[in-house]
Order: sequence, then C-alpha cells, then structure tokens
Amino acid sequence: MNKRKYPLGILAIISLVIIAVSAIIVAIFGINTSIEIGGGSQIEITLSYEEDSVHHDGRENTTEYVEKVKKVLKEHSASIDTYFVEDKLVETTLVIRVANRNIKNADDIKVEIANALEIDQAKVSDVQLLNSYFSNKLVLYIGLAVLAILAIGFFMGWLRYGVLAGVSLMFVILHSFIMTLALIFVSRVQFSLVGLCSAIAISILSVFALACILERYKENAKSSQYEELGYDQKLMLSTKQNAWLLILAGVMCFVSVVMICTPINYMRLAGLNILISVVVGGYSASCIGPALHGYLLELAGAKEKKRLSKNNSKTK
Amino acid sequence: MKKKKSTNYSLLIISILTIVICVCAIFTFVPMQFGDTLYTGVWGNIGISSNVRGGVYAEYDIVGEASGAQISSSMEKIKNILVEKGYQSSNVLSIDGSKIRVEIGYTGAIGQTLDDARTDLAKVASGAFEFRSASSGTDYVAVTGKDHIKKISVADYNGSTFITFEFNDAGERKFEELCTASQTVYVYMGDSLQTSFSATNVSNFSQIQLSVTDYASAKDFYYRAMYGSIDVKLNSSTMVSNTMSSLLGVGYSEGASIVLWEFVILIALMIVAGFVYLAVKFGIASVLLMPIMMLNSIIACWVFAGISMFEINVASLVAIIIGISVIFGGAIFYLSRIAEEYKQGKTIDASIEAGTKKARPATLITSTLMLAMFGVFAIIASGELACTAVVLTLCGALNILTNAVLLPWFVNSFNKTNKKQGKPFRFAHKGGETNE
Repeated sequence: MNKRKYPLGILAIISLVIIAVSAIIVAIFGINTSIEIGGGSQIEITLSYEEDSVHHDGRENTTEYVEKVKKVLKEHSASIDTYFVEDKLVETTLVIRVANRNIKNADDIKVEIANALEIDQAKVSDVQLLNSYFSNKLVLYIGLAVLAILAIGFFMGWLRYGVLAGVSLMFVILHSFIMTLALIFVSRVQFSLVGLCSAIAISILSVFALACILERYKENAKSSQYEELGYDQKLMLSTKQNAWLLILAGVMCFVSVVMICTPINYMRLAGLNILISVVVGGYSASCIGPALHGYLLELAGAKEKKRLSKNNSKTK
Repeated sequence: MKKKKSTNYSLLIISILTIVICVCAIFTFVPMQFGDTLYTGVWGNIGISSNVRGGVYAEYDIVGEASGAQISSSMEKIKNILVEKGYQSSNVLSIDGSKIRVEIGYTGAIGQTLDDARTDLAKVASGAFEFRSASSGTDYVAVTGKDHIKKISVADYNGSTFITFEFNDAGERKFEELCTASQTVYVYMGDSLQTSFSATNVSNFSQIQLSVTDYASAKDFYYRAMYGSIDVKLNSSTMVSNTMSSLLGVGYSEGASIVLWEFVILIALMIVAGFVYLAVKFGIASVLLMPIMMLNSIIACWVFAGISMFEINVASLVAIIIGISVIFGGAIFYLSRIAEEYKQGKTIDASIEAGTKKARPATLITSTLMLAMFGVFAIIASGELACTAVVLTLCGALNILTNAVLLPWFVNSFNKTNKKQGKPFRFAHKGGETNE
C-alpha cells in the first residue's frame, strides 16, 4: 500500500522561512510601495515650443523624451513609475513620476535631463516630492475583509465537510493572503492597491480549489474502493483527481506573463501581482490545505482510537 | 408524451433566450447613431478612472503653514468626498507639502462631462466653511467646519430640501455662544457670504437646518461645505485645472486607452482559450456555455453601468480576470465531473445527474463565500477596493447562475434532444455512442 504522506513539516518551514525573510526585508529596506500608497517624486518637463511664431504643443516628443529620461534616471538608480501629458494654461507638460521619495542629486538629475533632451534647463522643473496618505480606514477595511472571509470560509467548510475542513479552509485563506503579501515584499515588487486586491481576490480561487479537493475527498472516503488508503493518501488522490485546476492556474499564469511582457509599468505590476497570487494560491490549496487537513484528520483519528480503546478497556 | 413536450419547451425557451441575448448584446456593446442622437450602448456608460483613460487634474496651493498630519487628513477627506461624488479612483496627492493635487476621470456612469468634472474640482477650493456672528471685521465668533461640525447631511421633507449641520460638543458650545453674541448668523464659504439666518429662533444648539430651494443646490452646497471643512486652507484664486492623459504611460494622446484595450483583449483571449479547452475536452458543451457567457457579460455591463459608484480601474480589471477564471473553472469542474461519471460506465443521463449533484457543492461554496464576503466589502469599502469587491460579488452571483442553474439546464435539455438524433453530437464524452 502506498504510504506516502504530505510533508507538512517541510511545507510549514518553507512558508515560515518566506514570511520570516519578508519580515526581515521589510524591517531593513521597508516596503517598496507604489505612489498611491507611499508617495514618490515627480519631474515636469515642458513639451510645448514656439517655431516660426507658431505654438506647438510638442506632444510628438513624448516617447523620445521618456526614453531619454529613463536612461538618466537609470544612472541614478531610479525608474519611471508613470508618465503622462498634462495641459497647462499656456503650455503642455510631460509629468514623470518615480516611486522613490529620496532621490539623491536632484539638481544634477535636472541638469542631466535638460542636457539629454537638449532643452533649456528652465523647461525642466525641480524634483518635487509627492506625498500620499494611507488611510486608517483602508487598513480597517482590509482587516475586516480578511476576518470576514476567514469566518465565512470556516463556517462554509464546517457546514459541508465538518469542523476540521472548516479549520483547513480558513487556514488556507489566511495562508494564501499572508504568503502573497510576503512574496510581494520578498520579491520587492511594488506594493500597490492592485496587489492588495489580487491578494484578497485570489484567496477565492484557493477556496474553490480546496473545496473541489475536499468534495473529492468526501466522495473517496465513502467509496469502498479506497477504504484501505490512509487520510493523506486519500487526500493526495483527491488532489490528483483535480489536476485540471492546473490548467486554470496555467491560463492565469499565461495571462500574467503576457501582462508582464507589455511595456507599460502598471500592466507589468498587475501581471506580477497576479502571477505571485496564483502561485501562492495554488501552493496553498494543493499543498498546505490537504497536508493540514490530513494532519488534522490523523490527529482526530488517533484521539478517537485512544478514546475507543479506553472505553474497551473499561468494559473489559 | 408529456416528457417530450417539456423537452421541446426547454429547447424553445433556450432558443428564445439565445435570440434575446444576441439582441441585448447588440444594444449593450454596439454604439449606434439615430439621426443626431448617438447611443453609446450600455458599455459606454461605465465609468472609467483617470488612471486608465485620462481625465482632469487640479492643483491647489495650501495657504499658510500646514503640518504633514493636517495635509494627510485633508487629502483623505477630499478623497472620501470625491468617492462619495462617484470618482472612486481619484488620485489625491500633495506636492512638496505646499500643494494638493487631485486627478479624476470625467466620463462614465455619473454622467460627468469635462465641464462638470472641472466644476467639481473647483468646489474643492471653495474656502473654509464657517458660521459667523458678524459679516464684517475680524472680531466675531465663528463655528468652523473643520473644528466644530460633526456631520453634514441633505434631506427632503414634504417637498422641501434641508441641509443639516450637526455640531460636536465644542461646536455646540461655540454655536450657543455665537447665537448669544449676535441676532443674525452669517454663513461663509471662504470670504464669500452665502446666506444668513436669524439666531433668535434657534433653540437647539446641537444642530442647525438650512432650507434650500432645490435638491441640486442643496447637494452643491453640501459638497462645498464638506470641502470647506478640511484641515488646510486652499487658495482658490491660484488653482490650476486642466486635462491630462492616462496615468499609465501609454503615450501622448489624451483619452488613450491602450491599457483598457489590452485588458479587453486579454480577457477575450482567456474566454476564447476557455472555450477551446472545453471544445476539445467536452465537444458541444462549449457551445452551450457561449450564450451563458454572453448573458454574463451583458448582466455585468448593465450592473456596472447601473451602479453609479462603479469605475473601471486597474484593480477592477484584475478582479474581472480572476472572476472569469472562477466561472470558467466552475464550468470545467462541472463538465469534467459528468465526463468522469461517464467513464465509470454510467449512462449519459445518469452521468449528467451524478455530475451535477457532485459539482454543485464546490460551486455553491465558492460563490456563497464570494457573495457574502465581497458583498459586505463592496458596501463598507470605498475607492478601488469597493470597485474590486463589486466585480467579485457579481462574479459570485454569475458563477451560481452559470454553473448551478443555466449550464446544468442547457446540458439536460440539449442531452434530451441529442440522444434522439441518429448521429448524436459528441457531448461530454469521446465518440457519439453512449454506455446504454
């Protein structure tokens, strides 16, 4: 008989190590936040110009300017987060934003940009500091959302598959949320609202995947065909029977890779966030969830056995 | 005989439903010109954030010294008011601690034009809201919006519109002092006198109601009073406001929506990939899913256009991708369960019955969880998070509609007709034959 078991200890260690490393990275380097969460810096470049007494808005230079500014910023270890064109009353400006609040040599950067673009220094603004706010309300909402999903996950699991499955389901949701954030912090991918939304949303896919596995387990547990198998083996079989979930994960990974390959920063970030979320969601639902559920079932089984043997010895 | 009739009815209903779906799809997605009137389709009424499709910005100079905490609190209040107005994905930033910058989109469900958006941005610098005991000089008692007002609300009573200002404890004391000091209360927005009323009739100092001619004026006054209650003073005369391109760095053209189109193409690709997978694996079943997915997108469009507080932003687009994955996942799960039952040697009827029974719990658990969790979240949260929650709540409901109701019904009805054919379509199993 196949006695293979889920290596719950190893899986737990992997998760704990990632969470610990992310905590250390956050403690040392801080969180790499997006402008909407942590603020940043911006430089304004006047695009419009006069030629033969005719006013041109200069928008045709945008792409060329952005490429040149990108190079200058790269030399100063900074990268463009977003850029856009805005209309002022008499001129058109290109606004370049960097998700970095501590730009060193700001004056040098201004001069270098002007030189690279071959324009007058007066057309390049000073580096301006952008501040955003991270609302306490937002933290409260996220906390409430996670608590609500944990509670509902537990009750749904409990109602359908029993209290142990409820605990497993709840833990998987929590695990996938924390691990997604931890991996975002470890990989230094910008932490943005999109990332946060992906982390919360992907927990739903983990729930779906684990629910499919638990549904199979319930069926397999009833079947006489598998009655000789242990808890872990039955769970492994149930996971295998749901291998089609890999296709779903694969499609989402493909979508995220396409997004990562686009030249647009926002898309790339969204793609990276989805990729991280899907990988973590898959790991949580197919490894951590069944492993934990198997362990809990085994514990409960052992307890029940002990109770029965006690009762038997008492009757004897 | 009876059974045959019901089968025919099912097929008739499905056929009518499919035609209705196609007609609805045209009115939902295709813009049309009727004489001088342009009908944008329901799709055209969905709000799109400035991040995705450009918009309007305004920069306000902060008057006098303001601490970082005051600026942050003011930015948060401005953002909350904008969200209340329908600009869910507005950006509020401070520049060098001396300016506040606001960016909003100007199209979509709230029916805003460029001018409306500019007017809304102008309101942000309406000036400090105050009740004063005198209309001239500097020696007066003032109840200020930022220090003394707890809540402002607008309500209609028997055809009359009122704005109610509720004071906090300090505000209540101050308002009593004001009413004792002067017989007239002057209402100021910055340095501009808005209205005045007699203090002699005031008996309750914890709140005051002002009568306004109509609801629109009341709402306008309400928003200006809210902006006038932020912690910093903004200079309205130096305010700069104009248009801006998308924040996503997609080029110089205003209203550029390359990102939006990229997302649309990606979502379409996902749906096509889903159909191809289903077609290869389960044959005709993929065709059955097509009208359902079309119905889903129509419902989604109508809901998004109908919820004035909804805006398409990057976070909600990501949520759409995840939501569609859940729906497709549910469909694959359902059909694979039928195929599996069939492989075990059951008849196609028995396979469908058992497959439906076994697939439903996982779909219902996931969907109920989505509905309960994100439904609550959509109500209590705001901004981008609320938009994401709206998408996922709707996807939860559509998942139930698709995988627990319509797909099983379509599959059953189709099967009843299909098995009577001389050469049945391949349906949830390889080959045309059945285990019967």
